[in-house]
Amino acid sequence: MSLTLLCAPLAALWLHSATAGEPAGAAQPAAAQDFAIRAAHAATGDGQHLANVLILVQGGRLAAIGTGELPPGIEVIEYPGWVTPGFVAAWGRLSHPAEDETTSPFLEQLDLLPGFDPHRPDVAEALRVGITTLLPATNPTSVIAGTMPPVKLAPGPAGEVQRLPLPALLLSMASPAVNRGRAPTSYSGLVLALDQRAADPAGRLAEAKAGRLLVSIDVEERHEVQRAIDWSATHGLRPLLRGATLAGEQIASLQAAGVGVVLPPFGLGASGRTLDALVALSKSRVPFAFGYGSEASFRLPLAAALARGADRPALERALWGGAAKLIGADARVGSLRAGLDADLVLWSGDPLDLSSRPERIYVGGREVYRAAPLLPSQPPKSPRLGVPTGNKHAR
Amino acid sequence: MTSLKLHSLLGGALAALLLTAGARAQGAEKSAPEPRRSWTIRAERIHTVSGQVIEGGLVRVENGRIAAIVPGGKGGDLSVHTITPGLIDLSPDISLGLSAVEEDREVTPEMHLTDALNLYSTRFGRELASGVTAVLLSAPDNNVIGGLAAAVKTGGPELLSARLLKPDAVLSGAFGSAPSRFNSPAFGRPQGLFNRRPTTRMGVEWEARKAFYDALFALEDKREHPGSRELQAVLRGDLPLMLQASATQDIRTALYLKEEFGLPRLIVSHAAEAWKEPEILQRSGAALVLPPFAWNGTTAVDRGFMAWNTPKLLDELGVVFALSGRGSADPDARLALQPAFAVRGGLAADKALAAATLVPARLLGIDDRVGSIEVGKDADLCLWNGEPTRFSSAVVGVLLSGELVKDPR
Repeated sequence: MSLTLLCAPLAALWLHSATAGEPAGAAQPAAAQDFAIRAAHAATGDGQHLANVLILVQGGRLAAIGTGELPPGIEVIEYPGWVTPGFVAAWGRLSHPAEDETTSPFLEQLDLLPGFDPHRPDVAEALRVGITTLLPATNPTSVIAGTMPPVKLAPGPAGEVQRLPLPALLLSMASPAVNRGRAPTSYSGLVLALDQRAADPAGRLAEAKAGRLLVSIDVEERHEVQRAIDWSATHGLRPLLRGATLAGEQIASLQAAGVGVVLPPFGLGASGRTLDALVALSKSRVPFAFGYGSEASFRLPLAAALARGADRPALERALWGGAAKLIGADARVGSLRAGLDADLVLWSGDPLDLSSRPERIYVGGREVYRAAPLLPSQPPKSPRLGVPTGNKHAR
Repeated sequence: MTSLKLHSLLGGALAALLLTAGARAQGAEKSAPEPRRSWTIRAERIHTVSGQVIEGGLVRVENGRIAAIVPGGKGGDLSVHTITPGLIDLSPDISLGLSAVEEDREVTPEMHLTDALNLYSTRFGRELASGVTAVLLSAPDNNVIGGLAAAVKTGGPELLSARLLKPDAVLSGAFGSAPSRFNSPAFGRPQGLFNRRPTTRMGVEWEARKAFYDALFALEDKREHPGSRELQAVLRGDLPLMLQASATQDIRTALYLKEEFGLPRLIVSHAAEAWKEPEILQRSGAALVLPPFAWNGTTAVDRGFMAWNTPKLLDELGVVFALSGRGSADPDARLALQPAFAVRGGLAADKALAAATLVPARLLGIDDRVGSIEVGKDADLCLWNGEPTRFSSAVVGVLLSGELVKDPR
């Protein structure tokens, strides 16, 4: 047991792995085991921060947070950075073969889970961002794309897919779903077709009404958001609206309908209007979550919105606990709470600061990612790294 | 948005007060105060349209409705030259795009346009600023029978519940070249998955007649198919049918359809060349929507020619007609200018004004709420700086449901 508090985080990590007798390379994922993390900072995922928190992981789950006696002989990882739950992305475009199923725009019986391969490199890329749970996106041209549960972005101990219990029925009422290639070519036709399916007592939408399925509806523009709200209200559904970029301009409607939204990945060039909408959303009571687009851009809008005055606890809920609740997975992931899956990310600093990075990621108590070590004590060799070198002549 | 509008109308001091209130509450939507919906407006002339023209008087608006019309009187919050009802356009210049028409079939009477509306379209604001307070929105003319058109107000919150005047006001369709345009015959290259028919005017007519025969057979056999109920409602006269037909031959086709099936309520829209068929027109009892006037008479749909004296001629025949604004070669010649053009062609001023207000309201069956200045109706008002049927006049102010959306001051 290593109780020594070390200043350099990487040294601590190295020491830990050395004492645990494991290879530093993450090619072979470590088996789930019991351990504890003592971190300088923690974001709980519900908008709260803790200092000097002690987290006990037992059997792949969070056994205790902050208090309690440590079992004798347990290994403690001393970490001077931040510990958080893994991000929960409620929308994410991964190269998922079943996404491109276009045989029909109505595929309510299609199970999309077998098309998900956790070993693909883009899954690992999304994991590196700090996302451990994700509800994948589907082909936006399908009115009903099929059912898909949220999944963990790491394979299980036997290389298997790790899914969460509540599957989502994935609908689209966005413009790609109405195109001139096939029926429906219009929003009117789309609504009529969905109305007919909602009236079927043995259909998937009936299951959704009974609470056995989550309903997610892809939307883009504001009129599509409003149409989805109106349609859902007609059929007694409370869907998750995915892709509503300007949801912050429709807060009254969203609040009245009691539905949550998922913002699409903004990319690198999010406009001021988009960010202002995000700021407004963060100050409202509308539950929301984020979508994952690419490794480079996931946290960018967060930092930009924070700089514009967004409510930080709301952003944190949208990344963790609130997002998990929106996709019906809050009994398993999204917070630092005893009983939940030990999906943890160790951050070199504040996770909403773009200069921080995930250094270690655990899914179900198993280490699934370890960052290549930086060499912070040495000056970078290339000035392209953007760190001042102290050489005045370099300018 | 609401607070921005208020900003412009309440002036600096009050706006500053509102802004601080907004900042305190955080979140614009929660703090947006209800707009003022009670006004007293003085005018030198009030065109009630349904009744007399009042020379000098007050219109009192309370909680979004017209509360009183008082001849004479002094004071008032606003003073303008003329007040008329808000204009109503049955063929407005608001494009809904192809996502508003179901093109997998040519006859889709069961489609509701309310499901395809984009109330965030910036076109609404432009219509409203030009004095148009209510519009009929139909599916684009790609289908022979496009679906159920909706009557909506042009302003207010972007919610159907707030803007809808009548959801399924008419069943709309199109004759002429539009429904067959871009469609290719079976031996040609298909345009997509659907090798669409019809490809000729004959085919268009055939589709329309087949649709009504199918609806009649369905009635006889006591069965239903998509759209049969809507077509039967048209046959009974519960629902007006509005067909776009501009060239003489297309207008004739539409009028013969009315006679063949005994359709009680037919509205021919964009009826530029209706004046060429006075006898059939008079006999049929169909109502018309005229396209906007063009300097050389050539209108947008099928280059139908409309003479300047068309409204006068139709009035003499006793044909009911409304004026409209879509498809003008001049982007500014929208509905507000059309009554002046009609007067230029010889029509009486009061009839010209009615053709842009009360007549379209009656055709849609929304005249219990809008179309004229009467106590109890919605306070949708146009404020003019002169006589509305003169070219030198303009719409300087607009009230929508009592809210001053364009300030004349």
